[in-house]
Formats: sequence, C-alpha cells, structure tokens
Amino acid sequence: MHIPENYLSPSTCGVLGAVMVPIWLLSIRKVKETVPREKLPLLGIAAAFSFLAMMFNIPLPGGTTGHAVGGTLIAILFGPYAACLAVSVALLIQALFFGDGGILAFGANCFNMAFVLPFTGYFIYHGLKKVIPSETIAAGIGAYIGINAAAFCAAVEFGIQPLLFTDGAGQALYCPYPLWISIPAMMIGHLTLFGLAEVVFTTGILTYLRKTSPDLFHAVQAPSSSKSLFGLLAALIAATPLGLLAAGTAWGEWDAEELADTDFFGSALAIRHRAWNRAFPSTPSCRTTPSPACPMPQATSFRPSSAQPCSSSSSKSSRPSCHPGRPSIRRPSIKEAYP
Amino acid sequence: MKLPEWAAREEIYNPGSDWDYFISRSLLRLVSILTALRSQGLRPTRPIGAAPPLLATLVMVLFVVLARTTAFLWAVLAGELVLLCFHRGRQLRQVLGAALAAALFCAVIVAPSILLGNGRYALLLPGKTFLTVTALMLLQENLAWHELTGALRTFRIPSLVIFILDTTLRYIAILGQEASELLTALKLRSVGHNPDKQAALSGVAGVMLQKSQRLSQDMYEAMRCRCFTGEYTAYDGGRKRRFTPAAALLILFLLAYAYLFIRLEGVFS
Repeated sequence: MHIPENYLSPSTCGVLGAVMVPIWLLSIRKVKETVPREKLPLLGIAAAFSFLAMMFNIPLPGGTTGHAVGGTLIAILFGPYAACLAVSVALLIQALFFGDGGILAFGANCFNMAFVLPFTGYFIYHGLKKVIPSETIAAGIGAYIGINAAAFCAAVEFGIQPLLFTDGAGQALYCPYPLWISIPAMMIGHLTLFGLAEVVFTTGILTYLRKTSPDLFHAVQAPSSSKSLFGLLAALIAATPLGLLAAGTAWGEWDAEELADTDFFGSALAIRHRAWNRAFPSTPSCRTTPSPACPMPQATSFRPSSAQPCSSSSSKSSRPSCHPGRPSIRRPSIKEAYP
Repeated sequence: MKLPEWAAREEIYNPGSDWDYFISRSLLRLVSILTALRSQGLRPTRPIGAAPPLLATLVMVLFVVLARTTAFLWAVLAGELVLLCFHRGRQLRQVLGAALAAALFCAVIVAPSILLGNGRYALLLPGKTFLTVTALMLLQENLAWHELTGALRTFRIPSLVIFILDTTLRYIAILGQEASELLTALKLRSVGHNPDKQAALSGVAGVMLQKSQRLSQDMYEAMRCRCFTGEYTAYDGGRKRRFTPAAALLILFLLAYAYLFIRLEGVFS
C-alpha cells in the first residue's frame, strides 16, 4: 500500500499533506495531554514495533504469506492519536532511509495508513466492543475494515490521476489507471490476502497479550473519545453551505467553458465534458456540436443556465474571464436556480 | 541386556512437508534492516550539514516528478552518474540494485497501460522511478541517519516528533535484534509440521511488545538520570556549518538544474 514517487501528482501529494498537518498537530496535542511523561518513550518503541511489524511475513491459510501494517493493533493498545504518530514516523523512516514509499507521497501514505487505517479500525473496534462479547472478534473486524478503508483511499488517489492530470492529447501524466481499474486492483488483494494478514496479526497478538499479560498496556492507552472527531465532522457539515456565499468558482466545479479556459489540466477534461454533453444533451435544439441555432457547445448543467452577451454579464457572480464575441454562461443566483 | 520395546523400535519419523518459509523470509528482511542500521556508524563525516542535501534531494525529486520531457531526465541521470562515480563498489551495488529493482517493478506495473493508450508518459515512469530512488539512496548512503534527523529539526519539526523518530531508530535495532533471535529460536524448534503458525508468529511479536514495555521504562529512567526532557537542540560540533563551500556548490548545482528545468520543460513559455 506504500505509494511510491511518480504515481501521484505533486498537487495531490500537497493536498493530502496539508490535510495531515492538522491531524498531526491534534495528535501531538492529544498525546502530550493524555500520555504520561514516563510512557512517552513507549511511543517511539511503538513506532519501531510498527516498522518491524511491516517486515514480518504473516503465515496465511494455504501456505502463502502477507504483510500487515499493524495500525489498528497499535491504536487499540496505545490509542488512535499515538498510533497516528507512531505509524507516521515508521512511514517516514521507510521513505527516507529505505526508499519504501515516496518522499513527496509521504503525506498521502500517512493519510491512508496513519490516519484512515488506525482511526477507522479503532472506532469500529470501539463500537463493536459494546455489541459483540468477544473483543478479539471486534478487533479483527476493525483491523479488516481499517486496512480495506486505507486501501480504498489509496485506490481512489491512484484512480483520479488520469481524470485530473492529462496532457492536451489526453495522456495520463502520472498513474495511468482510472478508477475502474485501480479500485479492483487494490481491493482484490486487500479484501483477501492483506486484510486476512492484518486480522491474523492483530487478533493473534491481542490473544497472546491477553493470556500472558492482560494489564500490560492498560495504563498506556490514552482515554480517547469519538466526541472530538464527530465534532470536527459536524463543524465541516455545518460549514458546507458557506461555499454558496463565495463569489468565485469552487475548485473542481467548473462548467465546460471554464474548463476550456483552464490550460493547466490540458484539454482532457473539456474533451470528457463534450463527450458527456454529446451523450446527454441539455435540450434537443442545443447540442454540443456547433450549429446555426446554437453556435457554441453548451454545458449540460443540473442548474438552469442562460447564455447572454459578455457585455451584459457584469454582475459579481459572472465569470471573470470574458472573451469578446463569445457568449458567456452566467452563473445563476440561488433564487434563480431554485425558485 | 534386553532393550525395552520402545527403545528397540526403529525410528521412522518422517516429517511431512510444511510451508514454514515465513520464518526465513521474516528473518532475512530483519537481518537486512539490522545490517543497514549497523553500517550507519561507519559513515565518515562530510564537510556539509545534512539540511542542504536533504533540501536539494527533495527539490530534485519534485523536478523529476514534474518533468514531462526526456531531455531533463537525461540531465538528471547525467548528474547522478557523476555522483555515483565517487562511490565504492559496495555502495554502487546497493544504490543501483535498489533503483533498478524499483524501476523494473514500476515497468511491470505500468506496462498494461499501453493498451489503454496511455503509453507516452507511463513509459517515463520507470525512468523517473530509477532517478528518484537513486537520489534518495545517494542521500542516505552519504549521510548518517542521526544527521538526517538533526536536519529535520532545522525544518521546525516539533521536538516530540524528533524524539519519537530518534527513539524509533534506536529501538528498531534493539527490537530487531530481539526479533531475529526469537525467529532463529523458532526456526530451530520448528521440526516437522507446525499446525499453528499464526500462534508461533504472534508469540514472537507479543514477546517483542512485552520487551518494548520494559525497554520504555528503562529509557525513561535513563532520561531522568541525564536530565533529558525530550527537547532537542541542534549540535554542530562547535563549527558553523550553515554555509560551507560544499553547501554553496550544492546550491549552485541546484540552481543550474532549476534553470534547466525551466528551459527544457518550457515552464514560462
């Protein structure tokens, strides 16, 4: 699951790295608040354990072997915030000193394996523990879903590359496989081999520790609650309508003309948009191919749009770029769009 | 003297074939990690701090990833080959082995994309992978790991992260040694068919965790004895190595490559 260099665009790596910064800062704050000072060395040792866990070949039924990340196990033993830091450090060492996983893709790898994996695994374990009598089964399910959620994120990151980053001829600049290839390619292995390896690793060690030293890590685990995570999600949901107040265009929500004006994506997305318009024309009289009735291709939009001359579109909501002689699609106001 | 029946019976124990190569493979990977860690102490001190090479490597990797033409990639390859000429045979084998393996793996991965009509840039990916892995391997061949962690501190990374990183590097060696001894013991005892391999490996990892708990307690006590609170200050050995001639030369090369990138990739055209 380690994403190497060159498969993701630097902008994708930058976005995922930027997403990880507040998560790392929150994890550092939580760890400083909750983990006692005498247990701080254990975090480094947990990272060393995480690193070495990835080196183990886990025996699986049928004679084959697989690798585990151990993110859910560390989250169960030390708490999800400590696991986030420990797995991040293990990934940094792998990338910097062993060339395993890219340096630029470090943020993306951390997002998948140090954030999605331990947090998903831990919260599923935490939720199932209340309804399933066996903690080992809950941990196994958490580990399985956690690693598959991380693999799915990695597959989506791979799959959006040929959609977003192509040259003028539509050739993929980075990972060449679209979503319909990347998701099955990643998920088949993780739903079977690697998911099973993660389950075997997590449940085997938890069973061993429960038998031999049940209270070993009891004092280490930080009292984490899902309140802060749910609070963050609620704040994000509540803040979503704020985007409607913005005057400019939201990134990624371009119509066909705006796509035609952007040159940093090449013409691949505009070509795709024209193909979409050809397949689903907005009105029978206005097709994507130029005609005397409709000289310019018009985007199919779920919101009503109206073409009008450039000179009259001087409102704040209109597109900033204005080409003389070309009809401009005015972005309608909310009242016009949804009367 | 008449032997009892059980002693006189001919031993015909014939263990069936068993798939226990997970022990050998895990052991092999651990030993390779330990070898790499121990070779760190043999690195000679360079007349340059770790921060400029780390920064230069990151920028070069960024240029390589962004490059769309082969001309710039050839220029980077030329630079890397010049650097490789200053290394010993063992180092060359290590760097080129890792880079070629990564490039070959990448070529296998991207080969089917030609069928999708994405051959133009996909075929550049193995070459780019070779260049980026070579750059990283050259960095870690020339700088000791403690110098690299020190360089991270100059990039304002929080002390807690540096502390975890430093502790991790130390304990990878200690726990790795422990794990390799446990795996060797497991291999020696694995005679015949082992019906519960998962339990065997879980035992190894579980013992490692128990050991790590004891090690953390020892480390905390050692920290207290030395009045170390986990706060790091950059130590430069009494010399001001912020802008040495070697660092200036490196920055000049980096600027030259930036110029080449702008011209060959047509950034502003």
